[in-house]
Amino acid sequence: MSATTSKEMGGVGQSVKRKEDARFIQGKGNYVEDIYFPGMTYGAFVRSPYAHAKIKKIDSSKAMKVPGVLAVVTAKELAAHKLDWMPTIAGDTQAVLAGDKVLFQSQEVAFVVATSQAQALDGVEAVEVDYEELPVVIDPFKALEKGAPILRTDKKDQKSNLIFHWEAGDAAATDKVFKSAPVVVSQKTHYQRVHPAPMETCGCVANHNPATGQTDIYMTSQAPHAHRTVFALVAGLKEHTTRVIAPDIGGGFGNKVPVYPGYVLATVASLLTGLPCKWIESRSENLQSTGFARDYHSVTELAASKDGKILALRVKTLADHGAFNAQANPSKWPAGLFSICTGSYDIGAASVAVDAVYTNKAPGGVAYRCSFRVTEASYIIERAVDTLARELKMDPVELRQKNFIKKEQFPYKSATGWEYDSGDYHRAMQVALDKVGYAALRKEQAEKRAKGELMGIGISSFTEIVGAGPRKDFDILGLSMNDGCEIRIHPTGTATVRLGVKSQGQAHETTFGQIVAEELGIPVDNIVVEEGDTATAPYGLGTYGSRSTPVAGGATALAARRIREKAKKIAAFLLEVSENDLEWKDHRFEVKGAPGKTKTMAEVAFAAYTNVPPGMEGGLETTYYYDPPNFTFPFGTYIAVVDIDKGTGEFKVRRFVAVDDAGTVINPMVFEGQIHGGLAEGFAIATMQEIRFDEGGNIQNGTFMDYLLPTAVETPHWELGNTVTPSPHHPIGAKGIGESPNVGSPAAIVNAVVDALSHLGVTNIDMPVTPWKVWQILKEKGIAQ
Amino acid sequence: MQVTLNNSFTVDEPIDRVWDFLSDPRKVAPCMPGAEILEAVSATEYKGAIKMKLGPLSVKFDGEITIEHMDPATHEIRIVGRGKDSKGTGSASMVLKGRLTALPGGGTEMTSESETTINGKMAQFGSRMIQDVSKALYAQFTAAFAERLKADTAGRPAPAAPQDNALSMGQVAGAVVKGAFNRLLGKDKEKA
Repeated sequence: MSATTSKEMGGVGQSVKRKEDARFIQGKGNYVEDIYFPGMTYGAFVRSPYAHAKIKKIDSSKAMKVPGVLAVVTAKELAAHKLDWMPTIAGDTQAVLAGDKVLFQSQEVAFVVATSQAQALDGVEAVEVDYEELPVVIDPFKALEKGAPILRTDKKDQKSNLIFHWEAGDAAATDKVFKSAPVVVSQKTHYQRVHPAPMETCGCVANHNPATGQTDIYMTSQAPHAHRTVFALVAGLKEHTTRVIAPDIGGGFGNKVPVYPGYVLATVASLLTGLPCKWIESRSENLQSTGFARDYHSVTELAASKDGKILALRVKTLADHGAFNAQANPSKWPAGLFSICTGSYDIGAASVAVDAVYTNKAPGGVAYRCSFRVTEASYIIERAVDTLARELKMDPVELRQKNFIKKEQFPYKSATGWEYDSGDYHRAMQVALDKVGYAALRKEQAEKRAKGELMGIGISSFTEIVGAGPRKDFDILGLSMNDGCEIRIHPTGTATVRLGVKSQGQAHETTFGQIVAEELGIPVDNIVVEEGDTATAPYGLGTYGSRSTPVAGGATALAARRIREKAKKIAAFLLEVSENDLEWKDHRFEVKGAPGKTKTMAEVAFAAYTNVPPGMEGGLETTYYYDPPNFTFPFGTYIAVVDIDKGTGEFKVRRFVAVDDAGTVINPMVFEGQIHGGLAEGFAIATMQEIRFDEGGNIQNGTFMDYLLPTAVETPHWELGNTVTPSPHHPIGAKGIGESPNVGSPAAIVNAVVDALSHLGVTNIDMPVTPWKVWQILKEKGIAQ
Repeated sequence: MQVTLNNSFTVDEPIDRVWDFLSDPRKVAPCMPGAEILEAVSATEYKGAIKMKLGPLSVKFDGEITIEHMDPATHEIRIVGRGKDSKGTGSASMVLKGRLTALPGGGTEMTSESETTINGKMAQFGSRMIQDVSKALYAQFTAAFAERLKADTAGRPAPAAPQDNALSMGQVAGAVVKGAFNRLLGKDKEKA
């Protein structure tokens, strides 16, 4: 889909260079750590070394003698203000500071406030805590066994470690199909616990001014308005004198959605002392205590006919949530959008069940570009389809093509109740097959196999769901998930656009300007996009789950169109014609049939302040709150080709073709950048990442020495393709690309490695697929070199 | 996390001498760098402490040592130790089974099996080094044991316990680095 504006105008479809990069690459960004106020104090946490233990005593006397230490806050002091426990986004409660006992290693136990960061850390070293160890629950299956220690003794009615049981689809109808199906396969998978590890860790600077009553909180927040409202509800702050400012954010990926104890304590410290208070966590604190991602143990069953028509899907999942249910999900959806697990396939019956449990691990679960559990859903269906293909001795591409929802079937109602807006799965698959040269690769694989060489091809044809969400069913803690856009055109024709979402690297300052440039014919360089300051931005629910383009993008286009409607009246007045004689052509107003008689938006803007039609309100601005009618459904086909070294078990991703379709593409360069980033993350998850605990609940890899991030050395070369199937309900047809590459890529890689070994009887390898795991299989099969 | 260590070493002393020395925690404790016995609660229960430094981590465990089983006839001993770091950074507990065997030349071989459970900071940050550190500690222990046993036999006063009760970081770090390289080059036969 080619751009309709010129390169200079920078409308939708142009690869406008990112405006935010200028300050970032010069080191002139403004991150929370850069925020400084005179008299600012610093806070640091004493953290639990044990996964489960009673706190017998906290002795802060030595810490108070450390030079510079002003206070040591414990749960006791917070309890006096009823702040020792706080609500979580998922409707549970979470300890701000541990009271009677600690529930995970690295849990916050005390907060030391001092006049410098170093002094605060010295203070932390001097606090003495007496613990009595308790039996630890690490295995989520054991957590549900009779006799397992109950972890949440703080909750009166909690009789076990079960958090919730949730179902979707039709269990009875699905079981019926399974009973009579000719072919049934079952695939067990563990989508391991991982962590997004954004480059910038979490932190905040809270600044309460006792003289004015104003509280400003600079925070690593992906959703400033939602956080402000939560702070008001929890800490008794008044929203009209509370300002949450999310400045530049160095990567979010869902890690900066939850409210962490550090934000609460820095704010409390500032409220009580009247001094600004900064809290910034270290890298290991970020890895060990902040929101992790995934940890879903699933059994996925497919019922099919002998010739490969999928008849039903049945999924049972055990979700390990950690010590508190703190995952960020819309309130009526405790397992997020997991029921999208019917994927790209036309499946008549489906039944999904999720049981969530408490364990002695850090809380979280929804993060790392998961789209609210869509990564988990997409993984299990794409793995199960490959298992079915093997059972039927069918090519995995052929099986997929046979079961894809057809183009004519959209909008398509899935067996779990989602209405997919648009899709052309066969086309994306074909583009991928052609790009990778599939037939030739299968031939090569057969030849290599005959020689004993291990080569595999893995497919992942995902459909995901983003853009939360329609008011009637989607809210976060009750706050509706619609979003606002304010556009103000100034007399000299330049524009300010303000949004309720918040970029953490997604280039909003560029792409949203492009939407306005397209709609209003104002050059993109004359448009500034502002986000993140609750004092000025219209209310919004923030950026995560790839919702900015579908929701805020819709608000932006519709706000611009409202401006254009008013502008048309002004233009008609200036050109002395009736409105009906005007058309919007080449991004300006033109009198029909009189090409010389035009008015640009800039000319109209000036008139809005100097010469409006009698009776009309002056100015040219509006705010539009958009309630999306539905989600959007980006999709694609990824194909990975791997070669395994029989001596080491290492495998190289020889090729990775990613064909994505997210509807209208606003900025092709930004689009590709998002895909490259997401594919690198998916590759990391598939091959090297996992947060591990020993049986005592001690985290085994809480630093970058052992929690691995891919570098340019390991990361494969990505080959991208693109099809465009616009969303019929979105104002500019765009669906949002942020999450897709992380959603679709892990299954492609795992399917490829399993494919390379399937002739030896291998059916599954759980992620991360490390050389050690592969080598053990090679040894067991007797072919290790 | 759990660490299992099976070791043996020999000393040039008769078995009964070694047994007498070994069955007195007040004589054995100073052989472990950084360790001391603080109080004898009974004939088989003692209060003790051990200080250790592992890179940036400094811990001091306070705890109890109990001799659960002692058989002079078979020269077998089972000791259980349990300790917590005084600042609350972690805990460790150990079950140690030791056995003496008289050697033909007049010396004695001591074999030991120990199961150690570590929780807390050391288990978080130290896990990859614990095997190597344990080996280095064991080497220091056996050297000190032999030296102090000799002095005890000769009736000489025991050599002063090292002034610096914290393990020399360099010593242990050196052993750890060496251990890592040996494993890499396949020179360490003990590693499975």
